[in-house]
Amino acid sequence: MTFKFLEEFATADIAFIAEGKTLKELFQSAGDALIESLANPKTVKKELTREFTVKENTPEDLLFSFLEEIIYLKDKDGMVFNSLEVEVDEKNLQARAKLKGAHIDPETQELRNDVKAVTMHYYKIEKEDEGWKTRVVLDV
Amino acid sequence: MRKENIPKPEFNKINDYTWDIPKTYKEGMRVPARIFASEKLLEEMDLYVFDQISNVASLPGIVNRAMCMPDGHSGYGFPIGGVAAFDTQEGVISPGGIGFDINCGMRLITTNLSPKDVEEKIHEIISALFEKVPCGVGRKGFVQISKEKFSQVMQNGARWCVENGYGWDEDLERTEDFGCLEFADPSKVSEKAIARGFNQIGTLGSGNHYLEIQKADSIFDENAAKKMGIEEKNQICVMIHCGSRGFGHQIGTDYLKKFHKVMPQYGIKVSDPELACAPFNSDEGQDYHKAMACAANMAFANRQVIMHRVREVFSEIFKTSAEDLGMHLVYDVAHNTAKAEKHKVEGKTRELVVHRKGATRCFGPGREELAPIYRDLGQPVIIGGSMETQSYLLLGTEKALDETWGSTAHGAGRTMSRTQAKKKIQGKELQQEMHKKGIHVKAASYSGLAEEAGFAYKNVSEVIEVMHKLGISKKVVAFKPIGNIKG
Repeated sequence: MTFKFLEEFATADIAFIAEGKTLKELFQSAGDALIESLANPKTVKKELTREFTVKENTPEDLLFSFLEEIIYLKDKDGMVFNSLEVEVDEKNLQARAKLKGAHIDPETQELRNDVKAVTMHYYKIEKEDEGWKTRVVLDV
Repeated sequence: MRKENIPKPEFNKINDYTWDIPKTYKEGMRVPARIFASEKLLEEMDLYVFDQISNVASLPGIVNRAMCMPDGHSGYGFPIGGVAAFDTQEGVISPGGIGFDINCGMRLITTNLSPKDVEEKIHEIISALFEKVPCGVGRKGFVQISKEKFSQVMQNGARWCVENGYGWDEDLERTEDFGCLEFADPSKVSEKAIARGFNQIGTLGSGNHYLEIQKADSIFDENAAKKMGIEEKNQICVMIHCGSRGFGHQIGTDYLKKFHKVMPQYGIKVSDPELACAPFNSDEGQDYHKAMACAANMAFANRQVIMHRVREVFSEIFKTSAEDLGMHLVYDVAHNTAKAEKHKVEGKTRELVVHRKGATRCFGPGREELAPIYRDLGQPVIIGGSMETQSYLLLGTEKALDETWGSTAHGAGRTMSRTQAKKKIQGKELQQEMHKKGIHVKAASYSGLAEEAGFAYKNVSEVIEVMHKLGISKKVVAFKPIGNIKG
């Protein structure tokens, strides 16, 4: 489960690539990259739990909606996150996520970027021999 | 990875600041693309700007040409700095031509204070503003209303604020579109967008959003400056830069997804998924435009209540009313919108939907959209620089109406990525360096501060000079920062 931020890909924004042997691992990596973009997870306590399920018709749309949902929760509940657990039903293209985190507290958390949206800018998701790979640009 | 084989266009030089990319540059271009820039700024622009603006030139119903302002840099779909007008009957509307932060914009407020009055209290002012105006990741605003009341904000924008005690009557005539796009329709907005944004009225956000205390540094046109409330050099002013927050971001996301689904039924193909669009006069196009107006109204309201807070803070610290401190709004401009406007095309007046993404409306004198106080003068235009450099007050011109559908630049424009900027300097170090230069800054995030370092941006004065020399927007006042709250 890995991700890497791309330095020069998006002038004004955040770009990352994420990989995983399975869709579950890919979603975990991409979700972790998004969580890291919002706040340093090590500074966020596990005080609250949020769960959601998304279902789409393609792996590309599913990952997009999954990341979009995390951004939505950040604003709706005023939260940042410590950790993420995700399950992906590859056959039915459904993802179920469980996030642990806390209400935003500038005093105790290292807050980073107020991510506005997942974009379709050079967005892609690919299945390779070793597994899945995606590239995501976040608007900040 | 990103496209690596973008060819550099063979520009047709129109004059020293105007460069055309011919239709032959890329297959599918319906009209040429035009870049406004000095030779130096053109040379510094990344190739993706030319790739993106030529994609815009390929969209259905585009009129005359796609344009990019001198602060242009690559964005999603449209480049930042992109301007394009589409026929309202045959053309399209695209969220990629507006941006996720719908009606991100600028607001300038005067005071009658001098640097001497402010400098001794600058820490107190900055700390109070930092405390009273929430900024940074996902913060809740200081205006807490029910979802039902939020519907009134969606429909009435800044007017709702003034009616509810967050401002003065005169503020509305000093706001683009009087602070309210009348065609807003809350029924076109998702529950998700409302849940994301209804409690964010009165928040700056993060990224490049800020609230800045400035002093008038150079006055280029004394007469126009006086008419706008800038009486003398060194006069203290306040500038606000923010938008529609999570509410607008969600509307952008919702309709980006929706337009992808409906494009095939309209036979539209786009070369970049972020250019997803629908015919302007289709049900989907109209729905987006009405939802976009709700977000624009939320942004007008957001900047209005933040200004109200700024007035309260100054009034408390200086123990005088905001009225006695001369805290008048100069103007509020939007720089991420699409609006139906009447423009002359080959001598005939046509209604066009003008997309401005990271570009500011700059109507010249006489336009009926301007309130009587500015109708004879032209529209004030507010341009924010980076937090270490100057910001500008400009004036729209008649020439802008002929050349750019009445549009000009919006800021300095980034040249360096956020990650690169953070590698060059740490937030704390930058804060200390700025302090030495007489700029007191407080940020919600040190990494966010480093990302916004002045060296990550173009020289805003070069950008302004291009539009001034072209006669599109005239320089009136340049401001220098002395204090900054960074989201």
